[in-house]
Amino acid sequence: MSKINDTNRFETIVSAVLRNGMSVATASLVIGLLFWMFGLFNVVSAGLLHAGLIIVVGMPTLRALLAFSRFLRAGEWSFVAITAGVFAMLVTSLVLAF
Amino acid sequence: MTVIATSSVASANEASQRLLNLRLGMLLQLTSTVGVLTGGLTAMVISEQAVLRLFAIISVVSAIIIFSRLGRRNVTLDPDADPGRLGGRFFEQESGGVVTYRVRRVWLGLGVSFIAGNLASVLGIGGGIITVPVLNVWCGVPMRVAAATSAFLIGITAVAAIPAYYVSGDIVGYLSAAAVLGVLFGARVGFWVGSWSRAKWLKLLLGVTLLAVSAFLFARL
Repeated sequence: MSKINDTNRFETIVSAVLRNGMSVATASLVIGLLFWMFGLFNVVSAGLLHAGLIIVVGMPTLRALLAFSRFLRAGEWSFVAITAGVFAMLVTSLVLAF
Repeated sequence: MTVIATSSVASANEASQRLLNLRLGMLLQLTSTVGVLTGGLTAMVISEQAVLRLFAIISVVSAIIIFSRLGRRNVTLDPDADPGRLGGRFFEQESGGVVTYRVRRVWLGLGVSFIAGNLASVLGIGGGIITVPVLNVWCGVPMRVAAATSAFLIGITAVAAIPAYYVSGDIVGYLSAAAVLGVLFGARVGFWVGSWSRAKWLKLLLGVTLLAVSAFLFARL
């Protein structure tokens, strides 16, 4: 268990992104929505809205990436394989969508 | 989008991260994602109304089971007890110390994750409403851990479903943004309430929510 909770440089960065990402996404969504409501800067508004939504979508994926790194470092190979399998399916869903 | 937003808030919440069972979450993610990818097949075989009816029945059954086990705890107060490969330990304010739990009937958790993923794909719901009661009642996972692990699970499950919606243009920017902002606020309130509530009250809340959802669905069907 303890190994799973250790962190390295990559994980520290990802954790920081996870901590602050939601604040950035919230700000982006609020400003984008305000611009949209008042009909200002249509292109900027759409950009901000989609940027905020993409950050929101990216957060759980980033969390899974963090898990992958920790399993890898702890040498928990069965869980490394499971996480890799999940990522493979996420990529599959992306490919199928296009 | 709102499902992912709930999960994203959980990813950023430290208390939730301490409760999250990564091993269990990732294992359940396997069948859940398969459930999403095969959702298209389910939609071809079963009508949406039949799926909704099934969901309503599952909700009622889950609620009854939760109500019948309100006082039962899944944790032991011994911090040195063996949690097994998938179990874990966490500090629980309610018990005033570190508690240990073991995960049982993993096959059931895997099966229900598949169904939850499938429903997520067909109905656009998170699936946590099914996985949390099953993990708590049958798999030995404490309520808070089940909620945190489910939040992790549903986020990635929904990510698997999103590309298809995004490409087909079904995601409207300003509507999604407004819904996501509502969820961000609601999820924060949820974490705050969850941090000081007793596990028993959380179970009661989940049971009542399940009954309300099924009543709403039956009224519409």
